[in-house]
Amino acid sequence: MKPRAYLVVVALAGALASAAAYAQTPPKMKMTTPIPPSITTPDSVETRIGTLKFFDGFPDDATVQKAYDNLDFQRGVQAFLNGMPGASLVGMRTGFRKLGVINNNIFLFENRLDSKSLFLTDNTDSVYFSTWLNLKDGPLVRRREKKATGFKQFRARVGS
Amino acid sequence: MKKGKFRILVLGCCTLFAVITGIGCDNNPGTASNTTPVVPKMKMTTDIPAEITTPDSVDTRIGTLKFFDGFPDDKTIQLVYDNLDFQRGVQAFLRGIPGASVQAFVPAAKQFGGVDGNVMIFEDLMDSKALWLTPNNSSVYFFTWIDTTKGPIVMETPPNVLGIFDDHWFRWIGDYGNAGPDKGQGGKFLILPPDFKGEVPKGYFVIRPATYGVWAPGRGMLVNGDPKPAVESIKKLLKIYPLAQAANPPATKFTNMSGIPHSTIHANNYHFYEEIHDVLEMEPNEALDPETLGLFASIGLEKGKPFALDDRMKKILTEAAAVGNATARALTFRNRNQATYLYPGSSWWIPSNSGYQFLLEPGVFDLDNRTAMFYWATGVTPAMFAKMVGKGSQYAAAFTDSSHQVLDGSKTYKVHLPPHIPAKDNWSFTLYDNQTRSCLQTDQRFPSVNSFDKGLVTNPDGSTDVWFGPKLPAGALEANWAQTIPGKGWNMLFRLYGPLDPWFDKTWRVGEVELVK
Repeated sequence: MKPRAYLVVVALAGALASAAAYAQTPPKMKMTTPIPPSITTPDSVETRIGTLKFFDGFPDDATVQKAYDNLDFQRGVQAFLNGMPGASLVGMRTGFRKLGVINNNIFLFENRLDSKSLFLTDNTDSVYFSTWLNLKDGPLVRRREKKATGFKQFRARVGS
Repeated sequence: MKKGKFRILVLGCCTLFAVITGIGCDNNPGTASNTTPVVPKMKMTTDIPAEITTPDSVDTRIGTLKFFDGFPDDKTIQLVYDNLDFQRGVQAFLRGIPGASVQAFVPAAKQFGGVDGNVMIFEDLMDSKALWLTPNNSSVYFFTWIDTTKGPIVMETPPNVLGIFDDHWFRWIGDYGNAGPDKGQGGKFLILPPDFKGEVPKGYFVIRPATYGVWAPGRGMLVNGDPKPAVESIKKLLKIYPLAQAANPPATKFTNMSGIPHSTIHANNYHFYEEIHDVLEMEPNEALDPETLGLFASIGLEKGKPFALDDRMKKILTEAAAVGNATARALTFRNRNQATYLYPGSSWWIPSNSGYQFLLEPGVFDLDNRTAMFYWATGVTPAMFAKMVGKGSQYAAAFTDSSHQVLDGSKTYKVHLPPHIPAKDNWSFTLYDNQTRSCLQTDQRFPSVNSFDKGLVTNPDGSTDVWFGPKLPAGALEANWAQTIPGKGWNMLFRLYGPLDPWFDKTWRVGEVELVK
């Protein structure tokens, strides 16, 4: 008899604990059905952005603020990660423009590229050249002599 | 050539590293401590632009990030990866809601006979025992899940219904019925699998989804409040069968779902990601964009691979689902974009300002509207968003009262409808549960007040008052009252069927939800 009584107490305590997660247990109405637990929102949940609180699924003002602060922060980080290729080219374009390197003005590292140039992971054993092409005013023609050195590497770099 | 390729690989690796550590590049001098030991000036030393350097230490919400001359220490690496996985979990939740929401119909459809050419129908309307996102209580809903994995499917549709074909990621493919190519006459539709290469037979309205799974619900119309004529027409004329069996089609079976408890709502916890995985498993990758597929893949959700995560990732995604859920709830219940409210300062809300494709401008998604709409509702069609005077329906939701406080089921509220309500057919208020976004389960079978309800009273000046509260308020009539539940919140949708010009030009305005003291 004793173990059974103990079990009942445990079960009751468990029921009380789960009921305590809700601020107020709503009365059972004529149309009430069981609700799958996976689709409900608890009254309180601990997360890294803080304790999120809800009244029957409706977030309180502090929770709304936390959710939006987090949303904006996450989008900022994701935009940084996703935007890096574009930002990298803007950095290059800015440098090129300062040097007047645009369309038919080409920069060329005649004596190899050294560490005074801030280029992402360049090498120091090829003759780099480049320009910034602006096609807003129409198509541009690019021609090269047949045996220009470094052309393949230049193509590869553009492709990467 | 070989060397060239190797260089590209190195560049790629370095870029990846930069991506991983990118979060630390905060150049706010207020948070960066200046502890860098002075590096000796070398022969080649130049000035380095401040905005491209990484401080040795930076305080952020994910912790203090520390670097040795730009190289993150082990703890920083861990913080950054935990944050990256968490963020992707939250973003995948917000982005994945449409797909999870469609997927949530599939178990119910399988259990209750809404698959393989069979139909779930609400012969005596949909009451609050059905957990569906924001349905109405005044039309004959029916639902079938179309699966073209084994080949094209034919759907013969009945006349005078509003029907939708949405794909498995909840994007609109086409309408049938009153807004469809059959112009409400009923017709034969052919739904093709995404990889269909054969000759398309003649005589069908052809639907070409990007997915094998197609969500195809419909609504029949009441005749003087009676569902029977629509039910009879639908059961007689709606037929769904494989094209391969068109010469001798099997009979379509109907299951009456009125009063049967069941759920079609996606999960708000870890199970959500399993629902997304179910969609990925069934559908071709080509149905979705590489960016979203990459987001899903980054947290272990990939087609053809089991969704089996380690304890660390399970824990992170459990938390991400909780934060994603809170975010979706903020976007729905407390939307911060004033353009989604019907009038300045109003609680009446409809996230329709970026259209059924959720575009801020061509090519730019309105992320917030897409999340909010699909967290709160199902079914996307241009017909829901178009201005059709005297046709279709218009909607506005309220989650708060006129003081922007949560609607509380223990309190009493009133909405005043000025005279000449601009609805050619009828209007209604339907109450929903803030937890399930489904009809509020009260003692009333339908948690709604509808203009065709018997006994509804109009004021002497032609205006109408509608009451919401736990008990019939003094001075109110039962037909003008919808019950709420103490201890529970609620929200509601105001619908106009056959909306007229004063609604669109806002010369007629629905009253705010006033607390009755």
